[in-house]
Amino acid sequence: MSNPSQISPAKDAQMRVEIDRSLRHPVMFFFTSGAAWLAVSLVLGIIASAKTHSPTFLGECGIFQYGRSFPAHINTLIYGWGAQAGFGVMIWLMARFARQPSKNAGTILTAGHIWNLCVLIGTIGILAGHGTGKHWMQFPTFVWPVMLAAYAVIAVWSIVAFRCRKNNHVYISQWYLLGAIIWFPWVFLTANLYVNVFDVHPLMAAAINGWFRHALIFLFFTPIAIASAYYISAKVSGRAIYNYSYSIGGFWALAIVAPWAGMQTMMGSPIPVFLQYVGAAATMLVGVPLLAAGVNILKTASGQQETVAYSPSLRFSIAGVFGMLLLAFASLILAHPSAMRFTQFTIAGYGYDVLAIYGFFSMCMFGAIYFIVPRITRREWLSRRLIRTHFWFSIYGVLFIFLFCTLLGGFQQGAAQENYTQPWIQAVANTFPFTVGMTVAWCFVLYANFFFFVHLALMWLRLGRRSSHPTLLRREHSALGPHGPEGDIEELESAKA
Amino acid sequence: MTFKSFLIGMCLSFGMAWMFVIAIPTAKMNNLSPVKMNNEEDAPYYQHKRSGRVLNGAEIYASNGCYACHTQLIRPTYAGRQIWRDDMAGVVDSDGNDSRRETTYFDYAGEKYAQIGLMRMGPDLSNVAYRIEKYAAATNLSAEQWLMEHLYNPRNNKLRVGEGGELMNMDWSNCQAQHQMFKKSPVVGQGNVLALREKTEDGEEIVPKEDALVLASYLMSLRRDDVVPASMNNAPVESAEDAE
Repeated sequence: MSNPSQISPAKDAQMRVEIDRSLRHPVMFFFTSGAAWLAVSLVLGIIASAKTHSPTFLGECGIFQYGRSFPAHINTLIYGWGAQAGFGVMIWLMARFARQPSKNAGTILTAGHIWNLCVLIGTIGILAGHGTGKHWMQFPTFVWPVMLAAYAVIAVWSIVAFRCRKNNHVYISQWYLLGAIIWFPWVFLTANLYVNVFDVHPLMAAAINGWFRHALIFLFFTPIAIASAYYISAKVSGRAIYNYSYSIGGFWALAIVAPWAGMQTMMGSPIPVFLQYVGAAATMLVGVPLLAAGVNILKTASGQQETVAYSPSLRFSIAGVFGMLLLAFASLILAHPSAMRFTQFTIAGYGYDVLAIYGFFSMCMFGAIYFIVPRITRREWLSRRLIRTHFWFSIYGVLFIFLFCTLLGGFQQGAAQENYTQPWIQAVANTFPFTVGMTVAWCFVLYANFFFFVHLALMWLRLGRRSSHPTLLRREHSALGPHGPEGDIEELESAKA
Repeated sequence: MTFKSFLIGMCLSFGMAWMFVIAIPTAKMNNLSPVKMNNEEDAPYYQHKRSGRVLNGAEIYASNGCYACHTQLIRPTYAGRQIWRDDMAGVVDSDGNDSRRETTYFDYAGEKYAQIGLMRMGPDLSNVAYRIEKYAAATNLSAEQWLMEHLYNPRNNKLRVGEGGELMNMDWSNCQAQHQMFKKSPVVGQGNVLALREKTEDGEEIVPKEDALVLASYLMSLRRDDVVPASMNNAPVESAEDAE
């Protein structure tokens, strides 16, 4: 996405360094605390998953029983990791696109701490037995207004930066990010007001909760991940986006289709029937904008297999794009009304969320983090091996969860439930291998992300390599070592000049 | 595309869905008109009855995550077939009385949030009060006593009686024990009526706390077997002959 700008390259580079420096602390804070929450979430996920096949695991104490560890796991995944990774990428990209250093890093950092405090209080609340029982909204109800206020303080500066941008061209990533920034409070406020504040019919409250989950995936996590994948694929491959008008079309297709999705989770309940079918149709149709963005991104990076293989950021982003295409496929299968009779009340729904949040969104965020962190810390990643471990364990873990546990397991479980002539023990027995598989897969993903967190924390402490050579996932060795000459970047650069 | 046209597009695309999926259906569902029992002119209006500590019981149900594994929804046959599962949607007694029916929008009355549920790791609870009473009668316990034993230890092998009167093995159950709802207490007089049958090693009894009592009251209110208006009654049809 190189832009023919009027200013000289040297000035432009200096501008980029200034932007990176201005946002170093908030962005690193979001990434590192997000990674820490991801590790916490995965530990809770392992506990929850283990509880489904071995209910006496960890003794039978109340705190970690499935009904508490599972919501704690999901909510830390969404608000602790997902939202914070999204914030970090969002504010950095918006500042870079607007070509303006941030003047509000301190404010954003403070709001970030408040957000973290909310997640912490909410998680303790759930584990202590004060969860609300509304999926993805289980934090005790006094937390959400504070979270929304913290969000406003974090996000408003990105809109300001956009309005005061120094170049007229608007990149596709900017529209996606702007969309996410506006959709999040709209969705979050609507859902919380209707479910927690207004006195609505209990069934509509549950339906709006289903809508909220899908809106959060499709209107917050998805646009941020797509924006980041567009940016990384263009930037690392050094090409313009394959087709700009096509990408704009993809954005509006998402904007038009996605807000209708979600109420198919209520299939068969006594709410107006059109809501159930509109939700199913919209969820299936979301495949169209996902496909549009996916093809566009893959076309941008096509023919550059070496770059995709060597660059950690591009490799993760492209893996995320494949996750997105898999999500489009999963939406088509799992939201289809004739499949829902089997999958509606099975582990398939959980696996779908995991695919969306981890297989798609998180992979794109990892790609962005591997790109952004060396720029804002002015240090390079320490170890190719850690990055490679992170990549492969994540890929195998999430693919195993989705393909084996969710698709196969969900239908196995559902078929046993539908077979009403067999006793209930059949449904439990059919699910058993898949829940065990889920536990194993989460262990893989935790292994990957534990090292990711350590790596990231070291980078924040500025213990990264002092080198002008990025850490690439190359295998061959040169005389200068795997990463080129070591030393202080400034010294190396002046030696070259 | 300018920022202004972008905002207009956002408002239209999101606002329309918001209106037709959230605002209007919610308003409509808040103003449901009462339903007559049948088409006759002087037919009475349907009155949904539910007793028990529904509201705070639902809170205990929610905060301990029962909804993660148990559903409360008997789907119509286009969406699922659990209406035919034994004792799940109601019962057919020996006289041929059939109380099986789908869930209606009255069934969540008294709750703030309909706990449809996420996964069926465990069976549906729409009519769990029925099953509790049945199991309790077979084991010579009151329904509350049976429920306390079950909440404390779902893998208790002395609680289920099979068709031939034999005790059933429940080791396979993956239900979570709710020990936090119970406490140890010294035996006073004849002991607590709802104390578990098994005493602790030092002779104390295990008695339910308030949470367990409230939850039990809520679970005992889950009995969706009343006669609903003809317009809502979609009881299953046994055979094509009955349908005619």
